[in-house]
Amino acid sequence: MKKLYAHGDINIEVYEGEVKGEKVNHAGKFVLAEGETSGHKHVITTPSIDDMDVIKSADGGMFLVLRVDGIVTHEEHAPMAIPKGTYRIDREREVDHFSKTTRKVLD
Amino acid sequence: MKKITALTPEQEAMLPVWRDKWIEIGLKTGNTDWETFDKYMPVCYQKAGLVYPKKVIRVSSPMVGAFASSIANKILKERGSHVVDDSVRAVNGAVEGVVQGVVQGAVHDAVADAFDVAVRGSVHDVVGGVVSGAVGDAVRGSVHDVVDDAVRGAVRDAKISWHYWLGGQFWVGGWWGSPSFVSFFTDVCKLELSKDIQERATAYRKVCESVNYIWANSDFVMVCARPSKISKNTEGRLHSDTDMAIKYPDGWGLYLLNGIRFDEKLWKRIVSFKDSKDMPFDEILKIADVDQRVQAMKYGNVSEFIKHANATKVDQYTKYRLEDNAPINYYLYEFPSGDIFTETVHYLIYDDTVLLDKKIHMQGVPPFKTVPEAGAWKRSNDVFTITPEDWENMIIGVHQN
Repeated sequence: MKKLYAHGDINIEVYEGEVKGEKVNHAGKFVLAEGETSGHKHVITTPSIDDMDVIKSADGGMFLVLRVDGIVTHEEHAPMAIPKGTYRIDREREVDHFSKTTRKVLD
Repeated sequence: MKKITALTPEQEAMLPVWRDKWIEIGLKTGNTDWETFDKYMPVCYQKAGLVYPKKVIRVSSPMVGAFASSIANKILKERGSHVVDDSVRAVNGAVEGVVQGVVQGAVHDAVADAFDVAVRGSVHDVVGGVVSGAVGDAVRGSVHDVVDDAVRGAVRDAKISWHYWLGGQFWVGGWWGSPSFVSFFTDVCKLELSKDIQERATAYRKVCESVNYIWANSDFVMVCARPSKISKNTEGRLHSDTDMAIKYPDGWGLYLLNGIRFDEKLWKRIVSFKDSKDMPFDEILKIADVDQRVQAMKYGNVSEFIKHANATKVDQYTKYRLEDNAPINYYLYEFPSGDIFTETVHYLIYDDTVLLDKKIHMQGVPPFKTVPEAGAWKRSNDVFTITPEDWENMIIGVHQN
């Protein structure tokens, strides 16, 4: 099975390539996504700052390097453990049949 | 200072009482206690080693305060005043750090870790979640959306930062030296702090109890009145289908349904169907924001829509959460072309009982034959693909929540 962790509309995809980009500051806690209209946040937390790297690639992709297991939380979803590893963060998609376009799910 | 190493049964019994007391303070509406603010805010400045400004400006909503403080900051900066972005940040930082932070440190030193954590979990975290999380974040988000773009666009100054504010009542459960947390130890456990630390704690607590947002600058202090109304649903989320869910004395406020913000026009359209539950589904499906769409679906009837549109069920699939076997039912429907759609389309519909409140999701997908195919497509993208079997093997509670 291809490894994917899905928290609400957020994809946390196992990534096997080399991650290149700029490290983003965090305090052992990082907001993966924040709802535009709810203010609710998908937050990944690790026991200490050094346990996680957050990397933004040149094309805007976001990656997580977890050296230990992390926990992802959200106001409306049960917490979920994310095993140590490297992940790419994305959103699920949908078709808007009225505009006949495919888009990332917006919240 | 005597260290607290255990809570007595009486003190433990006070945890929920203290939690509720501070939630009430955090969500208080009506008259603003300007007098108390005017008495204690200068103490915060003094404790932070800062001179209290002569100009104290009262505003009637956070939107006005955010605009006005940003513009005042800009004007003073152009006149050569020392009020620049960095000093604004420094003043707020000093009040937060030197007043709240020092108190927090002193309390932490005086309380054994186990009881610090217990009170943090039972009082501070709950108060913070109910007040700041459910209410303050909505205000912050809305002010952010409007003011950030407008002010930056208007004055072309990327360094203007309206958000160097203190949350007042919305921060009674805030992280650093939160009044709800500190006061439990001082008032209930009778923790004795040094005179200076107690003065800092009292000053910050009084300020938080008395007003809403505060913009603490070196040349002026701007302070916002309390909301005139806060309306919530049974789960504590901002909600009203009759008026703004939070409203300030000048009439500014926010429209929310179950914690989800709407602009006035869309909110009015949706709630106009609250008695009939008959909102046209083509309108609902056109709402781009999925959280707003889910709320709007509560004002429409999915079954009626499916019947009206002559849709046919293509497939059905049920997943069960590992922990308690709670089901999530997925349905794939085909909608023929007609008065709603110009061509045959497919939607994946699922009832998400794993969420705190039962919600129905309805999202467009390409013309698949099975739910797992549609589910796998939704979770795939240009650089990452999962198969229908992968989707089926995703266990709720392990791979998805």
